Amino acid sequence: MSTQILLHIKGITKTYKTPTQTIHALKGVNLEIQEGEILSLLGVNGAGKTTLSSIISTLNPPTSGDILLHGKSIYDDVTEYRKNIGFCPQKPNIDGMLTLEQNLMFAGKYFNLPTEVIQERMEYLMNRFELKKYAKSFGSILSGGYKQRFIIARTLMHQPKLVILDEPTVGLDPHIRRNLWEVIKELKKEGVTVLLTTHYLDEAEVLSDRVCILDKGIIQLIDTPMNLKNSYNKGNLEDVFIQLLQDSAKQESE
Amino acid sequence: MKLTRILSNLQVLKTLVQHDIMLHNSHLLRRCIDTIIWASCVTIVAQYLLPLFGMSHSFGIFLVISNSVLWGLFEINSQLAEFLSEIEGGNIISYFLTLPLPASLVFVKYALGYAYRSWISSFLVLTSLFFIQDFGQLHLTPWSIFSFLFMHFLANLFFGFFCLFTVSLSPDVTYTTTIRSRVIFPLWHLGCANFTWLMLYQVSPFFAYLNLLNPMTYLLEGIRASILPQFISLSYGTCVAATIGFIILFGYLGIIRLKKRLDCL
Repeated sequence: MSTQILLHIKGITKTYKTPTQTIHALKGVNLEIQEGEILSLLGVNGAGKTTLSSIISTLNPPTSGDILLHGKSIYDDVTEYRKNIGFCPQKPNIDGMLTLEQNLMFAGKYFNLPTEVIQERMEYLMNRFELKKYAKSFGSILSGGYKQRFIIARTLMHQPKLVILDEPTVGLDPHIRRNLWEVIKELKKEGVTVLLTTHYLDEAEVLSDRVCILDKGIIQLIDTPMNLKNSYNKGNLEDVFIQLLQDSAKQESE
Repeated sequence: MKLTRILSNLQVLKTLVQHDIMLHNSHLLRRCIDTIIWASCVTIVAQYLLPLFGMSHSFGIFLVISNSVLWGLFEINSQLAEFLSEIEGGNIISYFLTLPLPASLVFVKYALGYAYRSWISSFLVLTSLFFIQDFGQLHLTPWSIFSFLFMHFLANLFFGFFCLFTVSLSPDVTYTTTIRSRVIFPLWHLGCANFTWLMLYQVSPFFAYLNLLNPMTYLLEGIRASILPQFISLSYGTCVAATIGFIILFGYLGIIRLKKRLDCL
């Protein structure tokens, strides 16, 4: 694994204010994402996983803190940073009124890719994600699994360095989940850095180089799945996670 | 460096607008039929039926020219509902907001897309002119036609940006009827659609001056000043300047409020 740091997340906080309450979704997150790794963000509902991935994808700004790409703040030039990332949200946001081919064509144009490169990438991604037979179909008619597959294909259109996948396998059939796992593994082989937000601990265990466990807006642990299992003396990541939650609840009650 | 970035942003914006135009054009035939039915009804009533109640024959052409602009105002309601469901559902806009351009330009893309949609549709309203036999009332010189087309374009640009502002005023999709009743209807009915500003001034100078705060006054007076000089109340130049001012004002307010609401960078 390369040890070069791609992204340095420094003291990120996020606070939401509603008329009745103030929610501290992230309370000072510090994290380094290494080039070419698959890093999984784990946590229970409301732990801050989606908030963190939305901030890294620049969909939302942090309340405070900074993110550095190769040592430079991404907020100095957000549009330039966006050329380096691909964000795949929890809910597939395909343009249902366009065909898959048209969706991909526009995805290439948004990143100012030359026409021949767009054609080449379209061909490659359609084949790789087995979408060829739906090329002329409208996005709205696809099933959940194909939509998810397509969203990942669209995310890869401009060959980003960092791919942010926010719960990409939620609600998918087991065989489609496995299929997407293969896709994610292939991305790693190609040198793409993947930030994976997931609820599924088996998924994190199989795919990740490192896992980062978030709880109540702060990072509890970052390590390789193997080290975590060894240090907690557990057979799988799910047991480690449950142990951590129990420890956290015990600490809170004390 | 800065210029390169601006050009790159504009290139992405251009592609986003092309995307919208492509989508709108796929519904063009249906929209043609909608507008022609609407405009024909207005024309038939204004040109052929209202004169039976003693209304001037010139009222027909007055209404058709006014309606070539008004269609865009009524379009706001459907665009409002569409945009609200888009931002509430976190749909494709969440993709656009991660593209390599500032969030403000994503909202500008929506405004331009809506402007194109109402421009192309309201243009079709003019086909109803074929129902009117008295073309002599129109001032058709190359300059007046150019002035008319320019004002028509500006009016629809205004509706595009005004739509952003109305979206920013609406907490959810159930507010579309509230916006229609509280914003669109007063703008239309009090905004010189059925009378000229001068007529209002003759009845009540106070209300006439108050009406100068209504952007529709300039849109409608401007479009008539270009091609129906017999109905001039406010000068064409004043109307163009005021319309540009309102586009900037409502565009700015709409974008600022939407950025805050969607918590964008």
